[in-house]
Amino acid sequence: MSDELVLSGGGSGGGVAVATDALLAVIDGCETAAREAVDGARALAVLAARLEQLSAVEAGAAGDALRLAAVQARSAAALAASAAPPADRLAWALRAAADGYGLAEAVATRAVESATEALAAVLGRVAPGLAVAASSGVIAVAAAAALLAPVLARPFGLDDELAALGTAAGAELNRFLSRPETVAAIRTAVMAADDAILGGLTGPALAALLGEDGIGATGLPFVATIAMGLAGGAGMLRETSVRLAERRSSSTAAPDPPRGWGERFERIPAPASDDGMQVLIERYTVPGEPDRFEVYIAGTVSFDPVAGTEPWDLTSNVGNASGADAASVRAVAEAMRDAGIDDTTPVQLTGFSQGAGTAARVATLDGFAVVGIAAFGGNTGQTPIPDGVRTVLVEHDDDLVPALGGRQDNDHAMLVRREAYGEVAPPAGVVLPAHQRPAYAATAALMDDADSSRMTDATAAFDAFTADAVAVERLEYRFEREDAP
Amino acid sequence: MSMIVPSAAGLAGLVALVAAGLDHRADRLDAAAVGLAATLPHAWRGPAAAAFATAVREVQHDLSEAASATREAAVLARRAAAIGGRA
Repeated sequence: MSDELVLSGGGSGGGVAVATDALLAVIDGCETAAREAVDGARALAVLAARLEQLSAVEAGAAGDALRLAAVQARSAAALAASAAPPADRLAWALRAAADGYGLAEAVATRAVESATEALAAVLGRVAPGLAVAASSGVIAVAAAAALLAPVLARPFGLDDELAALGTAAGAELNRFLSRPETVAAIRTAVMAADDAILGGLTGPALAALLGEDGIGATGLPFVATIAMGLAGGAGMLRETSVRLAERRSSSTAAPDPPRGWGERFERIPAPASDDGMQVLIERYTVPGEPDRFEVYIAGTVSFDPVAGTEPWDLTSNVGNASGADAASVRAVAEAMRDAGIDDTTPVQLTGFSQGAGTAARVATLDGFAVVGIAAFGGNTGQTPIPDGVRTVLVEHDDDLVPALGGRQDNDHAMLVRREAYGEVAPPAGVVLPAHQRPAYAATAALMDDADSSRMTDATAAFDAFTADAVAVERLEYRFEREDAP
Repeated sequence: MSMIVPSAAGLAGLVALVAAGLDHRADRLDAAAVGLAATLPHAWRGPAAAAFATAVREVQHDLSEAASATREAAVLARRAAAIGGRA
Protein backbone atom coordinates (compact mmCIF):
# COMPACT_ATOMS: atom_id res chain seq x y z
CA MET A 1 0.00 0.00 0.00
CA SER A 2 1.06 3.57 -0.52
CA ASP A 3 1.36 5.94 2.42
CA GLU A 4 1.48 8.99 0.19
CA LEU A 5 -1.36 11.49 0.58
CA VAL A 6 -1.91 13.89 -2.30
CA LEU A 7 -3.74 17.09 -1.34
CA SER A 8 -5.42 19.57 -3.65
CA GLY A 9 -8.16 22.20 -3.69
CA GLY A 10 -9.43 23.73 -0.51
CA GLY A 11 -10.15 27.32 -1.52
CA SER A 12 -7.90 30.21 -0.58
CA GLY A 13 -5.26 28.12 1.15
CA GLY A 14 -5.13 25.47 -1.53
CA GLY A 15 -5.52 27.22 -4.85
CA VAL A 16 -4.80 24.89 -7.76
CA ALA A 17 -1.87 23.20 -6.05
CA VAL A 18 -1.59 19.42 -6.13
CA ALA A 19 1.05 18.16 -3.73
CA THR A 20 1.82 15.41 -1.29
CA ASP A 21 1.42 16.05 2.40
CA ALA A 22 5.18 15.50 2.80
CA LEU A 23 5.96 18.17 0.21
CA LEU A 24 3.57 20.63 1.83
CA ALA A 25 5.29 19.95 5.15
CA VAL A 26 8.66 20.91 3.61
CA ILE A 27 7.10 24.11 2.21
CA ASP A 28 5.79 24.88 5.70
CA GLY A 29 9.27 24.14 7.09
CA CYS A 30 10.99 26.46 4.64
CA GLU A 31 8.56 29.29 5.34
CA THR A 32 9.00 28.85 9.08
CA ALA A 33 12.78 28.67 8.67
CA ALA A 34 12.79 31.95 6.75
CA ARG A 35 10.64 33.62 9.39
CA GLU A 36 12.73 32.30 12.25
CA ALA A 37 15.99 33.26 10.54
CA VAL A 38 14.77 36.85 10.21
CA ASP A 39 13.58 36.88 13.84
CA GLY A 40 16.90 35.36 14.96
CA ALA A 41 18.90 37.98 13.04
CA ARG A 42 16.89 40.78 14.67
CA ALA A 43 17.37 39.31 18.14
CA LEU A 44 21.10 38.86 17.57
CA ALA A 45 21.44 42.47 16.36
CA VAL A 46 19.80 43.69 19.58
CA LEU A 47 21.98 41.43 21.71
CA ALA A 48 25.14 42.55 19.82
CA ALA A 49 24.26 46.19 20.50
CA ARG A 50 23.86 45.42 24.21
CA LEU A 51 27.21 43.59 24.28
CA GLU A 52 28.82 46.61 22.63
CA GLN A 53 27.32 48.92 25.28
CA LEU A 54 28.72 46.71 28.04
CA SER A 55 32.13 46.54 26.40
CA ALA A 56 32.25 50.35 26.27
CA VAL A 57 32.01 50.61 30.05
CA GLU A 58 34.15 47.59 30.87
CA ALA A 59 37.91 47.93 30.79
CA GLY A 60 40.56 45.24 30.52
CA ALA A 61 40.24 41.61 29.48
CA ALA A 62 36.53 41.44 30.23
CA GLY A 63 35.88 44.42 27.93
CA ASP A 64 37.97 42.82 25.18
CA ALA A 65 36.01 39.56 25.52
CA LEU A 66 32.73 41.47 25.34
CA ARG A 67 33.87 43.27 22.19
CA LEU A 68 34.76 39.92 20.62
CA ALA A 69 31.36 38.50 21.60
CA ALA A 70 29.62 41.52 20.08
CA VAL A 71 31.52 41.14 16.80
CA GLN A 72 30.66 37.45 16.73
CA ALA A 73 27.00 38.18 17.44
CA ARG A 74 26.93 40.71 14.55
CA SER A 75 28.47 38.10 12.28
CA ALA A 76 25.92 35.48 13.38
CA ALA A 77 23.10 37.98 12.77
CA ALA A 78 24.33 38.53 9.23
CA LEU A 79 24.50 34.79 8.60
CA ALA A 80 21.01 34.24 9.97
CA ALA A 81 19.66 37.08 7.83
CA SER A 82 21.30 35.61 4.75
CA ALA A 83 19.69 32.20 5.41
CA ALA A 84 16.19 33.63 5.08
CA PRO A 85 16.00 34.50 1.35
CA PRO A 86 17.05 31.03 0.08
CA ALA A 87 14.49 29.41 2.39
CA ASP A 88 11.82 31.80 1.12
CA ARG A 89 12.82 31.21 -2.50
CA LEU A 90 12.70 27.44 -2.05
CA ALA A 91 9.26 27.61 -0.45
CA TRP A 92 8.03 29.83 -3.28
CA ALA A 93 9.52 27.55 -5.95
CA LEU A 94 8.00 24.42 -4.40
CA ARG A 95 4.61 26.08 -4.12
CA ALA A 96 4.83 27.28 -7.73
CA ALA A 97 5.75 23.76 -8.83
CA ALA A 98 2.76 22.33 -6.95
CA ASP A 99 0.51 24.98 -8.54
CA GLY A 100 1.96 24.22 -11.97
CA TYR A 101 1.48 20.50 -11.51
CA GLY A 102 -2.11 21.04 -10.43
CA LEU A 103 -2.82 23.37 -13.33
CA ALA A 104 -1.26 20.98 -15.85
CA GLU A 105 -3.24 18.08 -14.41
CA ALA A 106 -6.48 20.07 -14.56
CA VAL A 107 -5.87 21.28 -18.13
CA ALA A 108 -4.88 17.81 -19.36
CA THR A 109 -7.89 16.19 -17.70
CA ARG A 110 -10.25 18.78 -19.13
CA ALA A 111 -8.74 18.42 -22.62
CA VAL A 112 -9.21 14.64 -22.56
CA GLU A 113 -12.77 15.04 -21.30
CA SER A 114 -13.67 17.61 -23.96
CA ALA A 115 -12.25 15.46 -26.73
CA THR A 116 -14.03 12.37 -25.40
CA GLU A 117 -17.32 14.21 -25.06
CA ALA A 118 -17.09 15.57 -28.60
CA LEU A 119 -16.26 12.11 -29.95
CA ALA A 120 -19.08 10.56 -27.97
CA ALA A 121 -21.55 13.09 -29.37
CA VAL A 122 -20.50 12.37 -32.97
CA LEU A 123 -20.57 8.62 -32.43
CA GLY A 124 -23.93 8.90 -30.76
CA ARG A 125 -25.27 10.36 -34.00
CA VAL A 126 -23.56 8.22 -36.62
CA ALA A 127 -23.19 4.93 -34.74
CA PRO A 128 -25.29 4.82 -31.58
CA GLY A 129 -24.29 1.26 -30.73
CA LEU A 130 -20.63 2.07 -31.02
CA ALA A 131 -21.13 5.22 -29.01
CA VAL A 132 -22.66 3.31 -26.16
CA ALA A 133 -19.69 0.97 -26.20
CA ALA A 134 -16.99 3.58 -26.62
CA SER A 135 -18.34 6.60 -24.84
CA SER A 136 -20.71 5.40 -22.18
CA GLY A 137 -17.91 3.07 -21.45
CA VAL A 138 -17.16 -0.54 -22.05
CA ILE A 139 -15.27 -0.24 -18.82
CA ALA A 140 -18.19 1.22 -16.91
CA VAL A 141 -20.47 -1.50 -18.26
CA ALA A 142 -17.89 -4.13 -17.24
CA ALA A 143 -17.71 -2.63 -13.78
CA ALA A 144 -21.46 -2.58 -13.43
CA ALA A 145 -21.70 -6.14 -14.74
CA ALA A 146 -19.18 -7.31 -12.18
CA LEU A 147 -21.22 -5.75 -9.40
CA LEU A 148 -24.63 -6.82 -10.65
CA ALA A 149 -23.85 -10.25 -12.08
CA PRO A 150 -24.56 -12.17 -8.87
CA VAL A 151 -27.97 -10.54 -8.59
CA LEU A 152 -28.91 -10.89 -12.25
CA ALA A 153 -27.79 -14.53 -12.38
CA ARG A 154 -29.96 -15.58 -9.45
CA PRO A 155 -33.35 -15.78 -11.23
CA PHE A 156 -31.81 -17.87 -14.01
CA GLY A 157 -30.23 -20.41 -11.67
CA LEU A 158 -26.76 -19.54 -12.91
CA ASP A 159 -25.19 -18.97 -9.51
CA ASP A 160 -22.82 -21.94 -9.74
CA GLU A 161 -21.69 -21.10 -13.25
CA LEU A 162 -21.14 -17.51 -12.25
CA ALA A 163 -19.20 -18.54 -9.17
CA ALA A 164 -16.88 -20.70 -11.29
CA LEU A 165 -16.44 -17.89 -13.79
CA GLY A 166 -15.86 -15.45 -10.98
CA THR A 167 -13.15 -17.58 -9.46
CA ALA A 168 -11.37 -17.77 -12.77
CA ALA A 169 -11.79 -14.17 -13.83
CA GLY A 170 -12.47 -12.41 -10.55
CA ALA A 171 -8.92 -11.78 -9.46
CA GLU A 172 -7.89 -10.44 -12.85
CA LEU A 173 -11.02 -8.28 -13.15
CA ASN A 174 -10.47 -6.98 -9.65
CA ARG A 175 -6.92 -5.97 -10.53
CA PHE A 176 -8.16 -4.32 -13.73
CA LEU A 177 -10.88 -2.36 -11.96
CA SER A 178 -8.44 -1.30 -9.26
CA ARG A 179 -5.93 0.26 -11.64
CA PRO A 180 -5.78 4.06 -11.38
CA GLU A 181 -5.79 4.21 -15.21
CA THR A 182 -9.04 2.22 -15.33
CA VAL A 183 -10.58 4.41 -12.65
CA ALA A 184 -9.60 7.58 -14.53
CA ALA A 185 -11.06 6.14 -17.75
CA ILE A 186 -14.33 5.36 -15.96
CA ARG A 187 -14.48 8.93 -14.67
CA THR A 188 -14.05 10.24 -18.22
CA ALA A 189 -16.58 7.75 -19.59
CA VAL A 190 -19.13 8.83 -17.01
CA MET A 191 -18.70 12.46 -18.04
CA ALA A 192 -19.09 11.54 -21.75
CA ALA A 193 -22.14 9.31 -21.40
CA ASP A 194 -24.61 12.19 -21.66
CA ASP A 195 -22.91 13.47 -24.81
CA ALA A 196 -23.26 10.04 -26.44
CA ILE A 197 -26.97 9.90 -25.65
CA LEU A 198 -27.62 13.51 -26.64
CA GLY A 199 -25.52 13.17 -29.77
CA GLY A 200 -27.72 10.29 -30.86
CA LEU A 201 -30.90 12.19 -30.13
CA THR A 202 -30.05 15.71 -31.26
CA GLY A 203 -26.70 15.75 -33.06
CA PRO A 204 -23.22 16.79 -31.88
CA ALA A 205 -23.77 20.57 -32.05
CA LEU A 206 -26.83 20.60 -29.82
CA ALA A 207 -25.21 18.03 -27.52
CA ALA A 208 -22.26 20.39 -27.00
CA LEU A 209 -24.63 23.28 -26.32
CA LEU A 210 -26.66 21.34 -23.75
CA GLY A 211 -23.75 19.51 -22.07
CA GLU A 212 -21.48 20.35 -19.11
CA ASP A 213 -19.37 22.70 -21.24
CA GLY A 214 -22.48 24.42 -22.64
CA ILE A 215 -25.44 25.49 -20.57
CA GLY A 216 -24.99 22.48 -18.28
CA ALA A 217 -28.52 21.17 -18.76
CA THR A 218 -27.42 17.55 -18.89
CA GLY A 219 -24.43 15.85 -17.29
CA LEU A 220 -24.44 12.92 -14.89
CA PRO A 221 -27.95 13.63 -13.47
CA PHE A 222 -29.35 13.40 -17.00
CA VAL A 223 -27.74 9.99 -17.57
CA ALA A 224 -28.78 8.67 -14.14
CA THR A 225 -32.37 9.85 -14.73
CA ILE A 226 -32.48 8.04 -18.07
CA ALA A 227 -30.99 4.92 -16.46
CA MET A 228 -33.67 4.97 -13.76
CA GLY A 229 -36.38 5.44 -16.37
CA LEU A 230 -35.19 2.54 -18.49
CA ALA A 231 -34.54 0.25 -15.52
CA GLY A 232 -37.89 1.18 -14.01
CA GLY A 233 -39.62 -0.49 -16.95
CA ALA A 234 -38.01 -3.75 -15.88
CA GLY A 235 -38.94 -3.27 -12.24
CA MET A 236 -35.48 -2.12 -11.22
CA LEU A 237 -34.22 1.12 -9.61
CA ARG A 238 -37.72 2.15 -8.58
CA GLU A 239 -37.83 4.67 -5.77
CA THR A 240 -40.16 4.26 -2.79
CA SER A 241 -41.07 6.11 0.36
CA VAL A 242 -39.14 5.36 3.58
CA ARG A 243 -40.21 4.93 7.19
CA LEU A 244 -38.37 5.00 10.50
CA ALA A 245 -38.07 1.38 11.65
CA GLU A 246 -35.97 1.76 14.80
CA ARG A 247 -34.49 4.51 16.95
CA ARG A 248 -32.09 4.13 19.87
CA SER A 249 -30.92 6.79 22.27
CA SER A 250 -28.11 6.87 24.80
CA SER A 251 -26.13 9.48 26.72
CA THR A 252 -22.63 9.49 28.10
CA ALA A 253 -21.54 11.18 31.32
CA ALA A 254 -18.75 13.07 29.62
CA PRO A 255 -18.66 14.15 25.97
CA ASP A 256 -16.26 12.14 23.83
CA PRO A 257 -16.24 13.99 20.52
CA PRO A 258 -14.21 12.53 17.67
CA ARG A 259 -10.58 13.60 17.66
CA GLY A 260 -8.97 13.23 14.27
CA TRP A 261 -10.04 11.48 11.08
CA GLY A 262 -9.53 7.93 12.33
CA GLU A 263 -12.00 8.37 15.19
CA ARG A 264 -14.40 10.25 12.93
CA PHE A 265 -14.34 7.49 10.30
CA GLU A 266 -14.72 4.77 12.94
CA ARG A 267 -18.05 6.27 14.08
CA ILE A 268 -19.69 5.82 10.67
CA PRO A 269 -22.21 3.00 11.19
CA ALA A 270 -21.50 -0.38 9.60
CA PRO A 271 -25.05 -1.75 9.33
CA ALA A 272 -23.88 -5.36 9.04
CA SER A 273 -22.36 -5.20 12.52
CA ASP A 274 -24.49 -2.39 14.00
CA ASP A 275 -27.90 -4.14 13.92
CA GLY A 276 -28.72 -2.54 10.60
CA MET A 277 -28.41 1.02 11.94
CA GLN A 278 -27.62 3.37 9.05
CA VAL A 279 -27.39 6.77 10.76
CA LEU A 280 -25.71 7.91 13.97
CA ILE A 281 -26.40 11.42 15.25
CA GLU A 282 -24.51 12.97 18.17
CA ARG A 283 -26.10 15.98 19.83
CA TYR A 284 -23.53 18.12 21.66
CA THR A 285 -24.52 20.63 24.31
CA VAL A 286 -22.40 23.79 24.35
CA PRO A 287 -23.14 26.36 27.09
CA GLY A 288 -24.71 29.56 25.77
CA GLU A 289 -24.98 28.29 22.21
CA PRO A 290 -27.47 26.25 20.18
CA ASP A 291 -26.89 22.49 20.28
CA ARG A 292 -24.56 21.26 17.58
CA PHE A 293 -24.65 17.93 15.82
CA GLU A 294 -22.36 15.37 14.22
CA VAL A 295 -24.15 13.08 11.73
CA TYR A 296 -22.51 9.86 10.51
CA ILE A 297 -23.97 8.07 7.48
CA ALA A 298 -23.35 4.44 6.46
CA GLY A 299 -22.32 3.14 3.04
CA THR A 300 -24.29 0.98 0.63
CA VAL A 301 -25.81 -2.12 2.23
CA SER A 302 -27.42 -3.79 -0.80
CA PHE A 303 -26.41 -3.75 -4.47
CA ASP A 304 -29.65 -5.41 -5.53
CA PRO A 305 -31.05 -3.32 -8.41
CA VAL A 306 -34.58 -4.25 -7.36
CA ALA A 307 -35.55 -2.17 -4.35
CA GLY A 308 -36.36 -4.27 -1.26
CA THR A 309 -36.72 -2.97 2.26
CA GLU A 310 -33.16 -1.59 2.52
CA PRO A 311 -32.97 2.12 1.58
CA TRP A 312 -29.14 2.09 1.44
CA ASP A 313 -29.20 0.27 -1.92
CA LEU A 314 -28.33 0.63 -5.58
CA THR A 315 -31.57 2.49 -6.26
CA SER A 316 -30.52 5.21 -3.81
CA ASN A 317 -27.05 5.33 -5.35
CA VAL A 318 -28.44 5.99 -8.83
CA GLY A 319 -31.15 8.24 -7.43
CA ASN A 320 -28.56 10.41 -5.72
CA ALA A 321 -26.62 10.64 -8.97
CA SER A 322 -29.78 11.76 -10.76
CA GLY A 323 -30.02 14.75 -8.45
CA ALA A 324 -33.27 13.59 -6.88
CA ASP A 325 -33.65 13.04 -3.16
CA ALA A 326 -33.16 9.30 -2.99
CA ALA A 327 -34.48 7.14 -0.14
CA SER A 328 -31.23 7.39 1.83
CA VAL A 329 -31.23 11.20 1.55
CA ARG A 330 -34.85 11.41 2.70
CA ALA A 331 -34.09 9.03 5.56
CA VAL A 332 -31.12 11.07 6.78
CA ALA A 333 -33.14 14.29 6.55
CA GLU A 334 -35.94 12.68 8.60
CA ALA A 335 -33.45 11.48 11.21
CA MET A 336 -31.91 14.94 11.42
CA ARG A 337 -35.29 16.60 11.93
CA ASP A 338 -36.18 13.98 14.54
CA ALA A 339 -32.95 14.75 16.41
CA GLY A 340 -33.85 18.43 16.54
CA ILE A 341 -31.59 19.66 13.76
CA ASP A 342 -32.84 22.73 11.91
CA ASP A 343 -31.45 25.80 10.19
CA THR A 344 -30.29 27.31 13.51
CA THR A 345 -28.27 24.32 14.73
CA PRO A 346 -24.86 23.81 13.12
CA VAL A 347 -24.16 20.31 11.87
CA GLN A 348 -21.19 18.40 10.46
CA LEU A 349 -21.81 15.39 8.21
CA THR A 350 -19.47 12.41 7.85
CA GLY A 351 -20.15 9.60 5.41
CA PHE A 352 -18.58 6.64 3.68
CA SER A 353 -19.41 5.39 0.19
CA GLN A 354 -23.15 6.02 -0.35
CA GLY A 355 -23.09 7.85 2.97
CA ALA A 356 -20.58 10.31 1.49
CA GLY A 357 -22.77 10.96 -1.55
CA THR A 358 -25.79 11.26 0.72
CA ALA A 359 -23.99 13.79 2.93
CA ALA A 360 -23.22 15.90 -0.14
CA ARG A 361 -26.87 15.84 -1.20
CA VAL A 362 -28.12 16.66 2.32
CA ALA A 363 -25.88 19.73 2.28
CA THR A 364 -27.85 21.03 -0.69
CA LEU A 365 -31.21 20.76 1.14
CA ASP A 366 -32.98 23.75 2.69
CA GLY A 367 -33.71 23.67 6.41
CA PHE A 368 -30.28 22.64 7.73
CA ALA A 369 -27.19 24.64 8.71
CA VAL A 370 -24.50 22.30 7.40
CA VAL A 371 -21.07 23.72 8.25
CA GLY A 372 -18.82 20.76 7.43
CA ILE A 373 -18.68 17.58 5.36
CA ALA A 374 -16.12 14.78 5.59
CA ALA A 375 -16.79 12.35 2.74
CA PHE A 376 -14.85 9.10 2.31
CA GLY A 377 -15.05 7.21 -0.98
CA GLY A 378 -18.26 8.79 -2.24
CA ASN A 379 -19.49 9.75 -5.70
CA THR A 380 -19.70 13.45 -4.89
CA GLY A 381 -18.08 14.99 -7.98
CA GLN A 382 -21.20 16.30 -9.67
CA THR A 383 -23.16 17.17 -6.52
CA PRO A 384 -22.75 20.93 -5.99
CA ILE A 385 -21.80 21.20 -2.31
CA PRO A 386 -22.38 24.83 -1.24
CA ASP A 387 -19.19 26.92 -1.20
CA GLY A 388 -19.56 27.94 2.43
CA VAL A 389 -19.48 24.37 3.69
CA ARG A 390 -16.07 23.27 4.98
CA THR A 391 -15.47 20.13 2.92
CA VAL A 392 -12.88 17.37 2.97
CA LEU A 393 -13.30 14.70 0.28
CA VAL A 394 -11.21 11.54 0.55
CA GLU A 395 -10.84 9.43 -2.60
CA HIS A 396 -8.61 6.53 -3.56
CA ASP A 397 -7.14 6.70 -7.07
CA ASP A 398 -7.69 2.93 -7.39
CA ASP A 399 -11.33 3.04 -6.18
CA LEU A 400 -13.85 3.25 -9.01
CA VAL A 401 -16.82 4.28 -6.82
CA PRO A 402 -15.84 7.98 -6.54
CA ALA A 403 -15.11 7.90 -10.29
CA LEU A 404 -18.73 6.86 -10.95
CA GLY A 405 -19.64 10.30 -9.61
CA GLY A 406 -17.80 11.91 -12.54
CA ARG A 407 -15.31 14.76 -12.48
CA GLN A 408 -14.82 16.35 -9.04
CA ASP A 409 -16.22 19.84 -9.57
CA ASN A 410 -16.31 20.96 -5.91
CA ASP A 411 -13.24 23.17 -6.21
CA HIS A 412 -13.68 24.70 -2.78
CA ALA A 413 -13.33 21.26 -1.19
CA MET A 414 -10.03 19.94 0.04
CA LEU A 415 -9.43 16.72 -1.87
CA VAL A 416 -7.27 14.07 -0.20
CA ARG A 417 -6.16 11.34 -2.61
CA ARG A 418 -4.21 8.16 -2.14
CA GLU A 419 -3.56 4.93 -3.97
CA ALA A 420 -4.78 2.36 -1.47
CA TYR A 421 -2.76 -0.45 -3.01
CA GLY A 422 -0.26 1.26 -5.30
CA GLU A 423 2.26 -1.27 -6.55
CA VAL A 424 0.96 -3.95 -4.17
CA ALA A 425 -1.51 -6.41 -5.73
CA PRO A 426 -5.00 -6.01 -4.23
CA PRO A 427 -6.20 -8.99 -2.18
CA ALA A 428 -8.06 -11.75 -4.01
CA GLY A 429 -11.64 -12.47 -3.05
CA VAL A 430 -12.47 -8.90 -2.07
CA VAL A 431 -14.55 -6.95 -4.56
CA LEU A 432 -13.16 -3.45 -5.15
CA PRO A 433 -10.64 -3.70 -2.27
CA ALA A 434 -9.65 -0.03 -2.50
CA HIS A 435 -13.27 0.88 -1.71
CA GLN A 436 -13.53 -1.20 1.46
CA ARG A 437 -13.70 0.30 4.96
CA PRO A 438 -10.25 -0.93 6.09
CA ALA A 439 -8.62 0.84 3.14
CA TYR A 440 -10.30 4.15 4.00
CA ALA A 441 -9.64 3.65 7.71
CA ALA A 442 -5.94 3.36 6.85
CA THR A 443 -6.13 6.61 4.88
CA ALA A 444 -7.86 8.33 7.79
CA ALA A 445 -5.01 7.23 10.06
CA LEU A 446 -2.47 8.65 7.60
CA MET A 447 -4.40 11.93 7.59
CA ASP A 448 -4.03 12.02 11.38
CA ASP A 449 -0.27 11.50 11.04
CA ALA A 450 0.11 14.15 8.33
CA ASP A 451 2.60 16.97 8.90
CA SER A 452 1.51 19.72 6.52
CA SER A 453 -0.39 22.69 7.88
CA ARG A 454 -2.99 22.20 5.12
CA MET A 455 -3.95 18.85 6.61
CA THR A 456 -3.49 19.71 10.28
CA ASP A 457 -5.50 22.94 9.89
CA ALA A 458 -8.39 20.99 8.34
CA THR A 459 -8.22 18.44 11.16
CA ALA A 460 -8.23 21.19 13.78
CA ALA A 461 -11.21 22.93 12.15
CA PHE A 462 -13.34 19.76 12.22
CA ASP A 463 -12.27 18.87 15.78
CA ALA A 464 -12.91 22.41 17.05
CA PHE A 465 -16.60 22.07 16.18
CA THR A 466 -17.28 20.10 19.37
CA ALA A 467 -14.34 21.28 21.48
CA ASP A 468 -16.44 23.15 24.05
CA ALA A 469 -19.17 20.53 24.45
CA VAL A 470 -20.21 19.61 27.98
CA ALA A 471 -22.64 16.77 27.20
CA VAL A 472 -23.54 14.46 24.37
CA GLU A 473 -26.55 12.37 23.42
CA ARG A 474 -26.24 9.61 20.83
CA LEU A 475 -29.15 8.70 18.54
CA GLU A 476 -29.06 5.75 16.15
CA TYR A 477 -31.55 5.23 13.34
CA ARG A 478 -32.64 2.41 11.05
CA PHE A 479 -34.96 3.05 8.14
CA GLU A 480 -36.85 0.77 5.76
CA ARG A 481 -38.37 1.27 2.38
CA GLU A 482 -42.14 1.17 2.10
CA ASP A 483 -44.16 -0.19 -0.83
CA ALA A 484 -41.17 -1.80 -2.47
CA PRO A 485 -42.06 -3.55 -5.75
CA MET B 1 33.42 41.04 41.03
CA SER B 2 32.63 43.30 38.09
CA MET B 3 29.09 44.61 37.68
CA ILE B 4 29.31 43.28 34.12
CA VAL B 5 28.91 39.66 35.18
CA PRO B 6 25.09 39.35 35.48
CA SER B 7 24.46 41.26 32.26
CA ALA B 8 27.03 39.37 30.21
CA ALA B 9 25.86 36.03 31.56
CA GLY B 10 22.25 36.91 30.80
CA LEU B 11 23.14 38.00 27.30
CA ALA B 12 25.11 34.79 26.77
CA GLY B 13 22.00 32.80 27.73
CA LEU B 14 19.83 34.74 25.30
CA VAL B 15 22.33 34.31 22.47
CA ALA B 16 22.46 30.58 23.21
CA LEU B 17 18.65 30.44 22.97
CA VAL B 18 18.75 31.98 19.49
CA ALA B 19 21.40 29.42 18.49
CA ALA B 20 19.24 26.56 19.76
CA GLY B 21 16.25 27.88 17.80
CA LEU B 22 18.19 28.03 14.55
CA ASP B 23 19.62 24.57 15.15
CA HIS B 24 16.18 23.15 15.87
CA ARG B 25 14.78 24.59 12.67
CA ALA B 26 17.70 23.20 10.63
CA ASP B 27 17.11 19.74 12.14
CA ARG B 28 13.36 19.88 11.48
CA LEU B 29 13.94 20.90 7.89
CA ASP B 30 16.46 18.10 7.46
CA ALA B 31 14.01 15.52 8.83
CA ALA B 32 11.21 16.78 6.59
CA ALA B 33 13.46 16.68 3.53
CA VAL B 34 14.58 13.12 4.28
CA GLY B 35 10.96 12.05 4.70
CA LEU B 36 9.95 13.74 1.49
CA ALA B 37 12.66 12.10 -0.63
CA ALA B 38 10.78 8.79 -0.56
CA THR B 39 7.36 10.26 -1.17
CA LEU B 40 7.76 12.75 -4.00
CA PRO B 41 4.91 12.57 -6.53
CA HIS B 42 5.87 10.32 -9.46
CA ALA B 43 6.10 13.27 -11.82
CA TRP B 44 8.60 14.97 -9.55
CA ARG B 45 11.08 12.15 -9.32
CA GLY B 46 14.38 12.11 -11.19
CA PRO B 47 16.43 15.27 -11.89
CA ALA B 48 13.82 17.52 -10.27
CA ALA B 49 14.12 15.56 -7.04
CA ALA B 50 17.92 15.94 -7.07
CA ALA B 51 17.66 19.69 -7.59
CA PHE B 52 15.12 19.91 -4.82
CA ALA B 53 17.31 17.92 -2.43
CA THR B 54 20.26 20.21 -3.18
CA ALA B 55 18.18 23.32 -2.52
CA VAL B 56 16.92 21.96 0.80
CA ARG B 57 20.46 21.06 1.84
CA GLU B 58 21.63 24.59 1.04
CA VAL B 59 18.94 26.13 3.22
CA GLN B 60 19.72 23.66 5.97
CA HIS B 61 23.45 24.43 5.66
CA ASP B 62 22.83 28.19 5.89
CA LEU B 63 20.74 27.74 9.01
CA SER B 64 23.31 25.44 10.61
CA GLU B 65 26.09 27.90 9.85
CA ALA B 66 24.14 30.77 11.40
CA ALA B 67 23.43 28.58 14.45
CA SER B 68 27.09 27.68 14.77
CA ALA B 69 28.19 31.34 14.63
CA THR B 70 25.53 32.22 17.19
CA ARG B 71 26.75 29.50 19.54
CA GLU B 72 30.25 30.91 19.24
CA ALA B 73 28.91 34.37 20.20
CA ALA B 74 27.29 32.82 23.27
CA VAL B 75 30.59 31.18 24.27
CA LEU B 76 32.39 34.51 23.97
CA ALA B 77 29.75 36.30 26.04
CA ARG B 78 30.06 33.64 28.73
CA ARG B 79 33.83 33.99 28.68
CA ALA B 80 33.43 37.76 29.20
CA ALA B 81 31.21 37.06 32.18
CA ALA B 82 33.76 34.62 33.59
CA ILE B 83 36.61 37.10 33.19
CA GLY B 84 34.49 39.80 34.85
CA GLY B 85 33.76 37.36 37.68
CA ARG B 86 37.46 36.89 38.38
CA ALA B 87 38.21 40.62 38.20
